[in-house]
Amino acid sequence: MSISVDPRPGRHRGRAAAATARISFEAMDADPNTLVAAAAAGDRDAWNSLVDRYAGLVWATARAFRLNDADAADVSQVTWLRAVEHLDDLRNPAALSSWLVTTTRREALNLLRQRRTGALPDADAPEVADDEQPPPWHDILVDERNRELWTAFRRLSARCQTLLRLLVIDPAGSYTKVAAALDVPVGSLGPTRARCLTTLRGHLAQSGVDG
Amino acid sequence: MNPAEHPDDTALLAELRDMLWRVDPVPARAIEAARNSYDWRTLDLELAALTADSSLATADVRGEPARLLSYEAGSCSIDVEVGEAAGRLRILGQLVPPQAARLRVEQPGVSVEVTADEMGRFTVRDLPPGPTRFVVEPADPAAPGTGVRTDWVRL
Repeated sequence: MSISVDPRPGRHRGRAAAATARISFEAMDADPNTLVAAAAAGDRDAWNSLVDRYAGLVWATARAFRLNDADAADVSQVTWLRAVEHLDDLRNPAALSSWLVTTTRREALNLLRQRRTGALPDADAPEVADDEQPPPWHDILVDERNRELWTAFRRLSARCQTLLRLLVIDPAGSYTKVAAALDVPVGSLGPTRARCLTTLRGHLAQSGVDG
Repeated sequence: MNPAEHPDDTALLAELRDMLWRVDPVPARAIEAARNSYDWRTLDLELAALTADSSLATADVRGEPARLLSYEAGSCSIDVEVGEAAGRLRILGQLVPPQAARLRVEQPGVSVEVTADEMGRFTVRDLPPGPTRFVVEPADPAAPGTGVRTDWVRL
């Protein structure tokens, strides 16, 4: 993918043609450092590539706090609006993914606090009821196995859901990066991952499916 | 391999990835909103960071009818009181030091122009809830860099 630097000075406030929401696979190949530098220099394509690359990470992080569609969309939007303003002072562009996760988590927690949903959810407590949130069957082709896996996954603690989502969304992402994003010691990730997967297998076994 | 690792962990994670991608993909409108965030990029205005937000305070000050927020930049600060009625927001603002100024109240896709009086006070009515920021235009248009924009906050 070629990165062109937009020479236009100043602000980029023009209403650009509506962006298509298709995820570009090219985005996965580009170096995030290059993309952050290009976006900071005014390259909108580079920005779109960053969004394509990390939108799933931001969404997954918001979802891990069991936010519904509308709340997760709000949290995601504020996170990206702030990211635009912080492009220039990200000292280490490679840290963008950690910055995004940290900002999303803080924003999701703020939203829960403002809703006064009582005490904040205990990150280690298992999900007990998820009735207010029907499964988001965006894809009607989701099969039985995926439904059961989703149900079992949603019964995991928020901590497990976040960790597993981060691990699967960015398989190339190192434990170091995930640990920084979650603000936990890197040494704890392996054992936590194993424990979360064991619990997930237990939930699946209860529903009569092999893990 | 970590000794605690189940031999099928890799397969289960792969299955989980496939499931999450199918069951809970990022909505197209969230991706589009993220892309369009770039429209609001500002380079020539000082950032006023959110320094206080009563909605995040401890329980004892809750129950206040309005939400109070403070943003601070080197050159000035902005205090706002946000009230809500029938799902619409009413904002009372105060620039410190007090000064007449032109402001914009921005939300993705929307920009409302307001004027602060000599006492630095301004009012915005009938605003929908959502990500919002305040932009104080430079007093002298020929001297950019003197304007201020606040952090984005969900109001």
